[in-house]
Amino acid sequence: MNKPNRVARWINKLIVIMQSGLLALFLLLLIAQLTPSQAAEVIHAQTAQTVDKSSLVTPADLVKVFQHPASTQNLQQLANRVSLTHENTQGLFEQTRHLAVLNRPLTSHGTFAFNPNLGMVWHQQSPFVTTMVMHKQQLTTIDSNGNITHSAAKSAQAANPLMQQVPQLMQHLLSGDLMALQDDFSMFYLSSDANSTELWTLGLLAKDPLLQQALGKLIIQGQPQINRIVMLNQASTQQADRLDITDILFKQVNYLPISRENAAWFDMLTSPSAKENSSPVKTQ
Amino acid sequence: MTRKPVKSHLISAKWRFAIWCLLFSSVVIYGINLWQSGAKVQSDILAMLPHLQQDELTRNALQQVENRLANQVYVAIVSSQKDTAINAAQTLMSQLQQDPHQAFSQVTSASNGNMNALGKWYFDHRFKLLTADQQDALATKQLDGLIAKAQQQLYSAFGIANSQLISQDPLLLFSDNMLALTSSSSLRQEQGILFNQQANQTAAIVIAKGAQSAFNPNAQQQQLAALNHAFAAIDGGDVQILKAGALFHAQAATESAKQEITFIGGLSLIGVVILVWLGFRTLMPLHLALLTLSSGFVLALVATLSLFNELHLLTLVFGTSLIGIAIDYSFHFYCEKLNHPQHNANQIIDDILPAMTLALATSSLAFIGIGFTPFPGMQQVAVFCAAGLFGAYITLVLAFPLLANKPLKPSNALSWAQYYLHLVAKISAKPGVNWTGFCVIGLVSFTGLLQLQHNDDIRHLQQSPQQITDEENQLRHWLSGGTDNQFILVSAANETDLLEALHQLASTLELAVNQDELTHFFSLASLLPSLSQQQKNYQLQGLIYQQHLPEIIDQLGLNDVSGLLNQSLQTAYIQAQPANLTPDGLLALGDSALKDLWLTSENKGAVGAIVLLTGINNLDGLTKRINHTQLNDAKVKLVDKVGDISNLMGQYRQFTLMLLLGVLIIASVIFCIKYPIKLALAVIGVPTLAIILTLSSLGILASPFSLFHALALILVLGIGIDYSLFFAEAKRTSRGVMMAIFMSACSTLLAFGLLAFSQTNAIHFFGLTLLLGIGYTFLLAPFMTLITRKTH
Repeated sequence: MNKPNRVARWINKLIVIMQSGLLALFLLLLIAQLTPSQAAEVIHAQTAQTVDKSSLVTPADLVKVFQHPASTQNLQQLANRVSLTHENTQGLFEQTRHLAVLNRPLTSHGTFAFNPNLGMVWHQQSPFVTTMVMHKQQLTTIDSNGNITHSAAKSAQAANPLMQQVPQLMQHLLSGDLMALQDDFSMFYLSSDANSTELWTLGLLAKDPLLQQALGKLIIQGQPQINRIVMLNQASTQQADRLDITDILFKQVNYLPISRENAAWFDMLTSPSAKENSSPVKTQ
Repeated sequence: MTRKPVKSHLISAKWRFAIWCLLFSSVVIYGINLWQSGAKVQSDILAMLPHLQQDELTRNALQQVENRLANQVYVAIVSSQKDTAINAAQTLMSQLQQDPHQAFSQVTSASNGNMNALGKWYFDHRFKLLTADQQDALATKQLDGLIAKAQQQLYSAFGIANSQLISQDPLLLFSDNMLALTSSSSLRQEQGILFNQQANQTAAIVIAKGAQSAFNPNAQQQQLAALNHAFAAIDGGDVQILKAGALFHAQAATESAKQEITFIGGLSLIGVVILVWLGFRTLMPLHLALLTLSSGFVLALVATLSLFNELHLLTLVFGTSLIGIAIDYSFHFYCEKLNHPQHNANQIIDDILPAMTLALATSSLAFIGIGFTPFPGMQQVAVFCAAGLFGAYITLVLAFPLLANKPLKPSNALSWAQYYLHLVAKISAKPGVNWTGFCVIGLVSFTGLLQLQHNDDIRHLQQSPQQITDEENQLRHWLSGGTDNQFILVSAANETDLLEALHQLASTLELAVNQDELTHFFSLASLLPSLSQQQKNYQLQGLIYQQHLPEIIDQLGLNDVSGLLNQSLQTAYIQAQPANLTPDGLLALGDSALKDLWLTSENKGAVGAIVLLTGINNLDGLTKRINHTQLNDAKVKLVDKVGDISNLMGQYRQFTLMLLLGVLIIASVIFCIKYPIKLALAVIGVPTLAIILTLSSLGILASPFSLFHALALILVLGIGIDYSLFFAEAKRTSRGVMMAIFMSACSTLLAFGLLAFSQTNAIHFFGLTLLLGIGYTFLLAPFMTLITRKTH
């Protein structure tokens, strides 16, 4: 009697253990399933916090700048305040893209370097490594698998006007040539104070309707050096308030000579073999 | 014609003059009538080129390509500042469009296609488009790579990924397709201006299409004036202007022609006046020669206009060879008059009439021979010259008895002629000199003929100044190539087969590009996948839209709780099934220049497509490759108009030489009937030997034999027969003939020999051949007297 009872109890115990084990496993799995999204939310919260910390306004509020058209005087003042005569500009970037159709915002960070003669390097380190080098009319992308894509900006232009405009825009912005921007853009300007430490906001709206459609609204902020670029695009043709938001923060910006890593990227592009490729060519 | 001498005995000088007056006034009235009813001077040099034998499609293709390229002027404004170049180009365009004479019918720069609508058109057909890589990925069912690529794009701030695009094309396949479709040229456009950037320099490009042919002098002037006016508006500062086009070649040609006409024409006129003064000590012969010439000219003009209803400018240029022969008639008359001062004009005409009639017959024969060549211009030249000669002949017969009866002062020119003839006789009397002469002539002819080469390339006929060619090459560089004259024509029964064939041909041409036979080619195939490929692409994308859509939406992190996105994408995919990318759709939206590359037939026959070629390095190799290409359900051929015309020129060069031989044989038969065999052979022998010597001299001078040389040889034959005929007819005293021939040879050399100094190769060839031919004939003809003395 006892024997079978003991055996039965033992078996019962075993079943309970196994059941609780399974439950625990299930819970673990559940937690594991949830973690990425939770983690992302946490990161988002953190970035939101950093945004708040650095007293940065939310993108929606930034749109206010477009109610204040910039006068030539404003721009002149700004150009004087923001001493942009540096040859090189490099630093870190933190980028957040809120695409209306996506469940989660896309955050990435990395380094950038700009030289008016050499062009621009945009080196993303996280969440995956990819590098974009813009030199003259050529755009080279090196993806995380090491695939190199060369494309002439001209051919890219047809598919993507941004590719054509952005480097030029950056060049004018980073070289302080604000007046030159007036040819292609309507300019808007807001400044909290004439004091040089205060925050200024510059709004850009392309004059060409097609370009405006592609570029959307551009907002540049500085304190006094440029530290933030926001791009606002309409996410849907039906709902005007649904926006795609790209928010780029620049950090640890310096004007030192181009770092060795960045110089290597530029070198790769200015080497003759790459230069000759004017058509989109893929090399492994 | 044999009746005329009889008639001249019966009718008095006054009556003859009256008849002449009546005849010519009626011709003039008829001519004025013609002119008022719309006859015109045709000045388009292209109208002179021969007509080629071609099938309808090739002709249409050539016409479309020519329409596209003809009368186009390319201007590049080069500046170190992009804005400066673009602004200058805009100014230039508006200036040209506002031109009061409307010299240019079209002024364009950037592609006039609606890029936005075209982009939308492609996007609407996105389910039919896939790049080669995408095809591979889908065929091997490797979606992960495509998803990873899309994810990378999502992160890029400077990329194309945005909510609107993702919700219609979740894997962002479309942008790669657009990249593949846009041409790889480095030309870009901004603010409606096409431009190219190289090494800190920007060249803005403007293309203007002339309202009329650049070879039409009026249009040429208007176009140049409009351009210069527009250039003045943008000149100055940091701007360099480069220009190219047929207009500038035509301008150079016109300018050099003008200079040459003034120089050569002036020189020959002065020369002839001096010659006549020296010969006759009076300018009366010149006066009457002018009458002969002008009446001949009037008859020639009216005859040409009545037959062709237009007069080619070239006819006038070549028609001046009329002067060379028509003036001979009055020289012969005056020299005979000088030789027989006691005869009256009537008798003198009787004396020279048999020789003159024969000369007219053979010259007309030679000119009519020229008329058999394929050049519309040359046919006019033949009619013009034959009619002109007849006019001169009639004038001599009818008007000279009254007008030229005034006695001449004796001149010692005759004794010089006599002295020269004695010298000739003396030289030929020595057998040693004779033999060495024959040997030298034989040797020279032999070596010269061996060296004679031919070149029928029509590009060889016109050489433009270096500066124009240099400028053109610079501009070509900015345009990254431009288009060659040759193109490939593909024809098929319907559009679907044609598009398929174009794709098939593209691989052949890529091979040719790899082997350096050409640098670039372009056809509509690079903008349109074939129908079967489109259907294949559609089926491949079924993997995305019909099998794995939920997973893709999930993996990309797309927000689709309601399932609406999934549903709308699937519906879009299914709805897109029947619509294909067609040439019609592309042509409706694309650049108007694309329309020229697609040939639709009116009578439901074959359809054709043109493949434009750039930078052909090895035309023969490419032609061979194309000829060996077999396409399914389509025909392909390389159309090379320049080459075809050159070949035709070669054929007609041979034809002209055959004609020359034919005229020689016919003339020998005629002369054999009229003269003893030996004399007849001598009459023919002089021009024949002259022609052989001319050919060998051309060989030694390394002037490649062309149709223009051959045409000049026909004239040499005509004039040469004239010379020997007059000697043959001269019977006893040949010093009058000697003087006449000396004078006519000098005048011909002055009128045409000087053409040898022309900058235009075609005219230079013509002049050089005449210079040599007439020179040799002149040297050889006096030896005829030796034979005539022996026979009589």
